[in-house]
Amino acid sequence: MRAALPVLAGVVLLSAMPGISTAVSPTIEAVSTNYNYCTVCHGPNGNGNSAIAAPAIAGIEPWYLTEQLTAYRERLRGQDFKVDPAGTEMRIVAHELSDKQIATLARYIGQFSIERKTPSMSGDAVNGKQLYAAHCAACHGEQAGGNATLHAPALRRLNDWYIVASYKRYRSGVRGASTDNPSGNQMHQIAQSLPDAFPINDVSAYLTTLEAKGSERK
Amino acid sequence: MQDDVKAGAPSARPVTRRQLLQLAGMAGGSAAVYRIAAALELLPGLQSSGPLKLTPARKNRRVVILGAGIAGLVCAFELVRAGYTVEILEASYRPGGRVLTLRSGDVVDEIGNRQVCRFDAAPHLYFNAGASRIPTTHSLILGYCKELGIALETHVNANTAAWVQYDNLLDGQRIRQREYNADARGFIAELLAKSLLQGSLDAPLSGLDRERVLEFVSRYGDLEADHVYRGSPARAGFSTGGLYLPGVKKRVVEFSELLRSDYWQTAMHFGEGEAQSSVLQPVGGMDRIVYAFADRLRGQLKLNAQAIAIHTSDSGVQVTYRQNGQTRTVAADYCLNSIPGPILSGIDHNFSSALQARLIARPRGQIGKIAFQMRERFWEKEGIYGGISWTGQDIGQMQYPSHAFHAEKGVVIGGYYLEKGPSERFQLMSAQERLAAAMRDGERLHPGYSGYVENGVSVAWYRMNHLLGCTARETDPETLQILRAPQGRHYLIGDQVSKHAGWQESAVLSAHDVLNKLNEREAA
Repeated sequence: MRAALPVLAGVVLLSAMPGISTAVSPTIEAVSTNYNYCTVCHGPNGNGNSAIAAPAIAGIEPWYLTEQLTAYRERLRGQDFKVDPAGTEMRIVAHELSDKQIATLARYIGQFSIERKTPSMSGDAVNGKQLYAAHCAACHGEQAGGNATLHAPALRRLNDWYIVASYKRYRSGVRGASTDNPSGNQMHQIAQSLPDAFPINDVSAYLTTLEAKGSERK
Repeated sequence: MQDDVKAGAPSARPVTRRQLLQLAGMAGGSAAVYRIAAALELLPGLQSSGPLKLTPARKNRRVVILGAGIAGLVCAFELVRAGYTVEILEASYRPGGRVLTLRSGDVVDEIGNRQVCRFDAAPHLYFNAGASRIPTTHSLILGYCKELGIALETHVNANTAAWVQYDNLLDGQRIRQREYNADARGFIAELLAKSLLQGSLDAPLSGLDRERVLEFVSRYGDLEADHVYRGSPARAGFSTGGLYLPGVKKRVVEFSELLRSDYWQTAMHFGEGEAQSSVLQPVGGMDRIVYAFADRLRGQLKLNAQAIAIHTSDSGVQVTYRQNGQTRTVAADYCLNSIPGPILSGIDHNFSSALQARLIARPRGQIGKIAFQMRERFWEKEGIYGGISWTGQDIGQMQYPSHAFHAEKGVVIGGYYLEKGPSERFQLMSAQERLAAAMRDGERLHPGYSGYVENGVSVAWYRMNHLLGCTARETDPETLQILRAPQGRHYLIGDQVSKHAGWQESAVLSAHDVLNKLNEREAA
């Protein structure tokens, strides 16, 4: 069962126009508080959309979303269209967000219910479980629920294609190359320390089997 | 019979498509037949269902339509007329989709780059940010214009008084299209005349009167009596004089120079095809069409209604949507859906995996436009009334208004970019950056351009809320077949299931085709 979308207090959403004889022209303020922007790309319930390369955001930890939206706004993510076109789309979204709006969004999106993701890729989940325990659990939590103190987000709420794509971006430095983004840089170095043939698909397959829950340590 | 082929001899009768398919079947089985049928576009579901024929509805038949663009509005209009109960769910605050006309105070809902149009409030100061012209061959949409009483006027499309400017042509100097075109034709004609006179062309001319062909070529290129091209004042104009005082001929631009730019790849021939004069536009803005439909559909149209789940079966469709923080589910006998493929693929549905794969693969077109309100119609002082100047700068084109000639001000489309590189660059820019870039580019076509700009606005369709793209072109017959096949009682509509995306006519054709299929099912 899908939980109802939490109502965002203080948000002004336009009601349907009763009659339209001329062009409807809402004020920019009315349009700008329409948080449905997120659901257009990330899916109505925030479960992600591979067609737009928009990952699941339902249940994202508020601290993590705040970090990432800020990183986009400060151009620490999504700088280069050639290697990260979807990231540049997020940079555009984030560039006009104030700290207050980011905080509001973080609380709002964090309330979307996490749903089980349908696998879209194949991998050996048994092997993945071992690899995860050996290389990832220390930061990302035994059940992939994340660890705020270590700036490691939950992984078990993510789409498999996004886990694989993000790992590759961290490895290549598209994400996290700059030390201006310390937590991202940390992941970049860890990814680079893993062997070339590290079967991230197996880890991703394993993560997809974990039951969807909130993060372990907020 | 007697036409059986002798080894090496061509058949006396042409092979019919049926024979070809039979041969394919014999050689390669059903898969081969399918492949060739696809290539010949004979696949079921791609055949014309003919003109719209919607018979009166049976009792209490409901249709839910997703998206209030042209396809959705046309479907709703016809279904209501036939007695169906219709609900249109539109995610945006406005109907129209990619038919968007911006005027004073209008908001551009571009994600992360919202703008407000600051044109003066005046009927002639508008910007058709999406659909902007209707070819006269587009009879269905024109039919609705007539039925809805929408006044139309000419949209000047190709205008040889307008400019051509490419950095590798004449050192980046602008030149009138009429000069370029005349000199290009003159050269080609002279080349051809020489070949004819030397008798070096043979086979294609057998059966033709050589002398008459030579004369055709001379007229084509405006050659002088000795079949040499020395300029064409009739076509390129005089440098000075000609009407009253003696005319001074313009210089002839050498063909080697004309060849250097890319103008002749597409732009030069733009006015020959679908875009040929006359094309038409509604008086006062393209969205007159949208609001004419919307006015007649007030009871049906729900705005700010975002579909979040679709469940289809052979007995009906349920659509769950969110509006103003409330979630509702509507059940209908049919669902006609124009939500763009990439967005639709992220909504919960029970479509086949084959269709889902195609929805994910739909391209997100990246073209966009930039418009400026100019405090003076400086282009008219240059003798340009409507039409398009072409340039190799990122803006690609500049379009001049075809209406309100000699008014005090005018809205110029200061950029309409179609190429990938410029599209990517513009869509990443902030609103202000775009205007600055377009002003820089505009200076190459009109020195002093920036000085006339009062304000500007832009639309990058890739980034527009609820659309995330445009012109999702598809020509592969197999993909089209999958896109057009119903999923239970659910059909896709819109230009994205046509072969000619980016035109209202294609949206209307898809609407009519699906309505015919619906009608057939209802009659059964």
